[in-house]
Amino acid sequence: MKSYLGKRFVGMVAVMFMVATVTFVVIRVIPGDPAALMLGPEATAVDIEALRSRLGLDLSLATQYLTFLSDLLRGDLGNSIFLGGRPVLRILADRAEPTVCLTLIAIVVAMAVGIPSGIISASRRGSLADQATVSVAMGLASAPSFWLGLAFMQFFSVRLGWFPTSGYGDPGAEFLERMRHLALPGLVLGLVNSALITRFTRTTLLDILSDDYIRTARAKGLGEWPVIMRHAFRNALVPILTVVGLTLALLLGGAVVTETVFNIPGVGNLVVSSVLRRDYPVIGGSLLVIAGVYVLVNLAVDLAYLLIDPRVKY
Amino acid sequence: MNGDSLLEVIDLRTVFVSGGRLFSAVDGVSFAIRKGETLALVGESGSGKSVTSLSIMRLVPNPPGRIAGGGIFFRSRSGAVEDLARLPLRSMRRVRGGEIAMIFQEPMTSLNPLFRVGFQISEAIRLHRGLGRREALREAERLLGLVDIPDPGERLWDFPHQLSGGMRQRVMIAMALSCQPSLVIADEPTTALDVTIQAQILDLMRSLQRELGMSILFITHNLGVVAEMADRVAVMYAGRIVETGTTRDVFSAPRHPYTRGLMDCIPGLIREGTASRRLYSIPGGMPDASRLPDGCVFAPRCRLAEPGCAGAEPELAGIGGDRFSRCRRWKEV
Repeated sequence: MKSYLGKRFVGMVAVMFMVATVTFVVIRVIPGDPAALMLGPEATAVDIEALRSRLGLDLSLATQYLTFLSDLLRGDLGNSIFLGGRPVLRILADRAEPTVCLTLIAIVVAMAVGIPSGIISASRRGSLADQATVSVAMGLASAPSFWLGLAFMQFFSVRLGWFPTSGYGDPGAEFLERMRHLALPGLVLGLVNSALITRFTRTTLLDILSDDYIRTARAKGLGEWPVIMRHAFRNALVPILTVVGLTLALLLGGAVVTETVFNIPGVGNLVVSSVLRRDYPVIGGSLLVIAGVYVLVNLAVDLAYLLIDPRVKY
Repeated sequence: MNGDSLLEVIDLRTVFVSGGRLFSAVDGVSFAIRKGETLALVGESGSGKSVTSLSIMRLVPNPPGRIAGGGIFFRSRSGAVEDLARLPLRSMRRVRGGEIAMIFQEPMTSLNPLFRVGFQISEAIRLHRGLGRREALREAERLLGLVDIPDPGERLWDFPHQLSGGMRQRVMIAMALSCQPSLVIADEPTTALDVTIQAQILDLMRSLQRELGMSILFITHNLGVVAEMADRVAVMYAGRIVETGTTRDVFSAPRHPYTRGLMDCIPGLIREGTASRRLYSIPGGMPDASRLPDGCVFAPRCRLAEPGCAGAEPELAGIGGDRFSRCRRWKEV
């Protein structure tokens, strides 16, 4: 177990190193001079040159790369070209709360909807309930989230007035008030992502229900419900957990469309506006942090297998 | 139903739908098992012997399969005779595990990998005998001892993957016996095990039967196992029984060419000085159940086939004593 964790750590460092290198290369390869961008169209060549040397852009690529890496090791992701030149890490930290909370709401909704409907669907294969569940899941999976978002906004916020239409509350709003702003986008994001979990739960369970030990459980005289919930579902948990983990990691990277539709100041929104502004340090920093989150969520999922399946040994 | 019968299967027909076509995996099978007796159901793969056993337990996967006709009459512990083919599922669950238990072919995959074996055994005990968690575990420990598992108190807490194949099959047997069933259906219980373990498991089953007095329906393709275990044999081919009789009679003088062929397929020991003979095999293969030949279904592979065999299918006819054969030329076998 200890050696496994050690190996995983080395692997994670290697992945992060590669992501950092690719980020560095991509940013340097993209046409456009950050110094010229920062100073705007009226800047003189002398001004630009001065800023370039201040930012270290006149040094050789190798030197720049080494500086970039050593800054990274100290936790310095650089400063934004815009946004008042604030450190990228700070900017990301400010954007983390809405994205993390939105993700948590969405994943809870996705599991609360997806897993039970997958179970019902699998346990009554071919029935009306099964067909209805599969159709709804297909519909949700193929509904664009911007469309679903706008439809929900129109119905729940505009017509019923239950939720605020968009935003994240006024500056200094209470936590609960901020969460009220996330309820509707969380619901939309959760429903869209529940479709995959439904289908996956259904398929995995159907697969398991034809396994030999399920026949053994039935041969004991167990009723259909204990057979499905105790014997089949536990076995389906490992694959289901994998999908939930991937969904979680994906959402933590910022749900760009939903954040845009509901105007939530999250990571997804930040990445989009930075790309439009060519704010390279922010783009690069976000890439790194998102990659790091992916790697950590994956590790957490792998460790969770240990709790479910006694055959898994690290 | 006959007074000393525990189970009487009468004209059982189990059908499957495959590729939009309906075919009978089991077609008109009848047999009886007496109390304390072992009946072996023998045949090649695809002969319908496993489907017969799953039909008795009502465990035929549906869809694609279902019992389409016939009766499965079982004398329950209370003395009442019930037709399992028509029993509501709720009552069937009382029979499953409680009165009829089953041991499966694959001990590797027949236990749930996520639960400790103690839990898996005690689950049935709690269900049918209404014992509490702790008492059921103590009973499971006793059963593990009964099937000769060393350190039963420790093994209760093992997961299936921590046990060898032979040990797992012993656990399956312990589980099957946990509620003192009057009938145990053993579907190829030793096929997946290596030969020395096979012998141990068969010994165990025989001694448990002597001790507990249950009847056994033994499903196998291995005639050597039949000779060792069974009082009576029913040979199946293409979803039908083609010959039945006591094990001694059938083995000493088979009365159906298929049985004869199966026995000729057993390798004999090559003695010094005798020329080694090529192992016999029955020509051809089991016919596709959806495209059975007219007349006798075995005729296309039969050494004794004559033009008349392609006419009407012969009945399973009494040929004296407790013996039945589905061959027109049984006297010549």
